[in-house]
Amino acid sequence: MNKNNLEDFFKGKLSIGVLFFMYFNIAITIAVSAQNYTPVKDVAGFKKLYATKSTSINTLRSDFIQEKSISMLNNTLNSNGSFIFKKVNKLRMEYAKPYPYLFVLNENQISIKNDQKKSNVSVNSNKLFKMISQITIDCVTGNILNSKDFDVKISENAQVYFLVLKPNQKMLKSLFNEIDLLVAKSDFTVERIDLKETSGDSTTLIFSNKKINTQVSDEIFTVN
Amino acid sequence: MRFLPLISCILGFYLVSGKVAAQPAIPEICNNNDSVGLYNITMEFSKNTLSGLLILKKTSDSTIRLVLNAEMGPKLLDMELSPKGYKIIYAFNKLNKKKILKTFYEDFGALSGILIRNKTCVVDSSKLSTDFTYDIAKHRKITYSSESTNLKINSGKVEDGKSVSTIFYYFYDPSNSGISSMKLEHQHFRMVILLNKINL
Repeated sequence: MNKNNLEDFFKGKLSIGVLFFMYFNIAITIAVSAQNYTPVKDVAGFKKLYATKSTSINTLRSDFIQEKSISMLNNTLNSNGSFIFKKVNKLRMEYAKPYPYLFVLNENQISIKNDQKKSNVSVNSNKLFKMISQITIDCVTGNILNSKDFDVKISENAQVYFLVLKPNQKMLKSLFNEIDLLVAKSDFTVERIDLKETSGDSTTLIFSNKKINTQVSDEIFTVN
Repeated sequence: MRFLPLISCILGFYLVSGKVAAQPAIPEICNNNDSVGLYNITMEFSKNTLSGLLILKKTSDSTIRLVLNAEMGPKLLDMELSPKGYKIIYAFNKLNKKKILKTFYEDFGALSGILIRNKTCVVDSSKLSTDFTYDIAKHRKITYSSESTNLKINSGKVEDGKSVSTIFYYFYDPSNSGISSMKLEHQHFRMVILLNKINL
């Protein structure tokens, strides 16, 4: 077995985990619900508002439901858990059902824990991690709409903004056809993320019971 | 009739140590009812660790579909395993390398028993365990071992020449006697695969 190939694979895969933090952070910086959308006319105004609103979110707690649709299976795989974000770059996703799984991003460190193993990975272990970390920060700071890695289409209805992100960066493009976000107009937090894969499968995350700017201890981003 | 004792002796010998037509009970890693097995997978390589979701689906008597998903996201690998080889249905580009795919095929082919389909084994019951050994290629063989009287397989190993390249273990759920977890360890480089069955 070629060691370099495997290392590339693992680094690549782990970085995919970081990719998702990006989307969840997008979730934090925006908000949702939708149907019958019309294109946003004042895109510049939206971007400015989005950046302003997202800047005001220091912490976010919510519940989430994950629906994974895999072509090989007749049913979707559903899971749920809790989601906690804290500025600048802290994220905790704890899956409760159907089995426990913990994913924590704490600045430059990723920790993963399941009933088999706990592991830590440095975000800075390769260039890809650095790139995705930058994207994550851009999401939190509201710069995601200015990202060169995505072409963004923005539409709206009375309740939500509907963002369609088309990746144009090679790595992202190989994984996703598009990423759809529903962002609530009320508080600019994300209500739903649809990750549409190039393979035809998809993963949907639905957020609920959102609490903005409540007290969140730094300790919960340390996994023992 | 005068040859009957001789025939019995020959059969007896083959059942204790030799080639037999009967196959050992390779654990069913897919569920019997829906032919699907869901596993939480943890892979360790060098200093890297990752985890995700592994789906195994029996698509025919001699084929198994394997899908590897990142826990919180996309499908990374979709391949079909058969005794003759593997077919890639989808592979994330970082994973789409012949040596990586071949390792997946050989590891899960050994765990599932796909690699030994329609092959004859040599049985060795001379030790504490009963060993079922199959030649799968030139200078390459797989041995499944059973420590129990009912010949339920507990472990296995893949040998290249005279060295062991991979060892693996099966752990059973005492409540239903099905597979609860599996562990596979490569011996020539540090790679360990842990699989925990998910019961939905």
